[in-house]
Amino acid sequence: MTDLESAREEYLSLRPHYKALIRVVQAVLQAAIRKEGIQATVTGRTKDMAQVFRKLITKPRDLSEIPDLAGVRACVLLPSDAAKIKPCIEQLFVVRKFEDKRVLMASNELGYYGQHFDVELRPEDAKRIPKVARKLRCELQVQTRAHNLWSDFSHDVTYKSPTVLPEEVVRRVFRVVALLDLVDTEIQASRDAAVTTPGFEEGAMVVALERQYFELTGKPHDPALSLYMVRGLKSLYTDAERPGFEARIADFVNAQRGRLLVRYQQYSDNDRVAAILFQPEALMILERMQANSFALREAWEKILPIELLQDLSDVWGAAI
Amino acid sequence: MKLNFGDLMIRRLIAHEVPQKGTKAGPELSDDDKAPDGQIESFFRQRMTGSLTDAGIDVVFDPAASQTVKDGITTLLSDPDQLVSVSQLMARHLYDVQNRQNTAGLLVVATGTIDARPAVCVLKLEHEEGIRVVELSAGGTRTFNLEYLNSLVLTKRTRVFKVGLFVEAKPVYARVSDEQFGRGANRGVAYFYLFDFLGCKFAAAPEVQTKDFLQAAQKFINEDVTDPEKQARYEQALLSELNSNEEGVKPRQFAQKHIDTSAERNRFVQRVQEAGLPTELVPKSLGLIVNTIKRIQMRFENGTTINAHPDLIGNDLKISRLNDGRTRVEMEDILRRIKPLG
Repeated sequence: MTDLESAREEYLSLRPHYKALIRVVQAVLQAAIRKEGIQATVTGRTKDMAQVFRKLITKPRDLSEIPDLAGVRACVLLPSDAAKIKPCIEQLFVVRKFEDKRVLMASNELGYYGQHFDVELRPEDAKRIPKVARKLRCELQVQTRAHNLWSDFSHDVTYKSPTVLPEEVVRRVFRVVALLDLVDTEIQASRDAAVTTPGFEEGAMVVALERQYFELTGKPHDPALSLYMVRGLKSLYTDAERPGFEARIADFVNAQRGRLLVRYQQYSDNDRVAAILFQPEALMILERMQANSFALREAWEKILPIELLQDLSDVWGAAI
Repeated sequence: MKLNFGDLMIRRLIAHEVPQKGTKAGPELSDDDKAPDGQIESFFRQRMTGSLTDAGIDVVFDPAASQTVKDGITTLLSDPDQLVSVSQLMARHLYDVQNRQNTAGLLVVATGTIDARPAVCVLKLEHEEGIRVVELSAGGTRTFNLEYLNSLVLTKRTRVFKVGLFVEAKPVYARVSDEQFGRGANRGVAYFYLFDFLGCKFAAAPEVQTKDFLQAAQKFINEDVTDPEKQARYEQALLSELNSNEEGVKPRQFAQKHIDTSAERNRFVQRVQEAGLPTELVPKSLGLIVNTIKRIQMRFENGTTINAHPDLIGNDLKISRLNDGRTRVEMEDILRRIKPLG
């Protein structure tokens, strides 16, 4: 058996384990970035056999020395989100190697900016996969959508090219890189400007609440009241918690879906009993009622009579 | 049993008029039960949920008390169709056991479910008075007609009502709330419903729960609060609460009223929960702590101990925290006596 054949056999036998590893890495990362309120698409893949062969032919080595047999990629909208993921990854995984491609580049160079982490699962997560897979590593890439486009594009051009590309083509490729770099910068700048616009954050919170509310009931609400309430109560979430607001509300609704559906049905023809129940922000109020009812009460008293909160707590069955 | 009372579904209910003892020959009984419409059901549920959550106490049937209600509940939990006859028996029993001190009212018995378990609610409501305003317009003139009502029984602001909730379990889960409970002056009236009529007693011994509450609160003050001024103030509030005429301690309400920040309030409630106590209402009985809540004792690292009446804290005895973490105690008074100790 040749070296390549034995490597092939070995990879074929390990591949299901790499797949299991990828599933767990994806799940762990997805849960964490969702909580942080980071908009990201997380995908995973095992390296295909042809790519493995190509690597082994161009640089003969043991199979285990190829770093990205299992790969997971988190593709974010904002460059600032890419920076936020790094501490999450360091906390969630055992990081064996880290590379920030941007740092490796000189200031007069343009190229791919992703962050690459060579990770293993922490012991508590490793229990979720077969023993033989626990020491396997996964390459975790974090990149913006713009750089993801660049990475896909460059991969396509360089891997498929049988020879050195003509200079004119290379120049074009670099123009694309420059443009994508600009895209990242502009997306971040416009987002930063939008967030600091008065009412933007409250508006985004109301949209997140409406998304869940209309899954539970079709009753119309008063948007002006929603904005007033959210503005008055948003301080119940810290600056660090607010980016994860949508995920937090979604988690609450998922955990309480049965009870919420019953309440909306129970009081559907009786909104006099709990005027606030048929407002999307009721979901935020109920979530806070469970998490920190004293703080809720304190914030509430500044914007509305406490009896209205008492009504809602009676409907929900919680003490305030 | 951990229940969310908001999950209660009322299927049928019936009401009987129970007059004040001696005014009539007996209760005026209904002969038919009804399925409440959506508005009535949700109104009842909301009022009962609020009361059971905020002022409810877990109870058990007392083998030494009258078994009338217990037997009725057992029957209704297995056969809710007996609602009319069983509730009539309960109304007669209520009339029989009450005395002239108890006011007339309406006994409402409802069957339904909570958390998919059969449940029975027994409520005593008292008549309230009110004025209804009706707008009239005739010949281009608008007037308001005021109509006196004395038949209201449960309004959004009604405070005089008593609820017993009984849920199928082995043994039956029972919780009673009484808006009059906890007010010293009404002690007899409130206890009458629980003990004499329902035939129940507290599920946990009040004197043990009161002692546990004191210990939980002490733990909070000594381990979770670092500012000596606050410690003294909280301690003073705690002893004042325990020494008051109230028949129950409401930990959440105590936190809301006396503790400064929501983080501290949450910690206090957590301490109460860790002690296995309800956070809404703990029936109070000072039997096991009567000698320990008369005075506040402060012990210092240098061996000094100060014993003071709680009322002196913040007034004659001022406590503050110094920048270096030590505590300053200031007091001015006339020295009466000095003597060696130990």
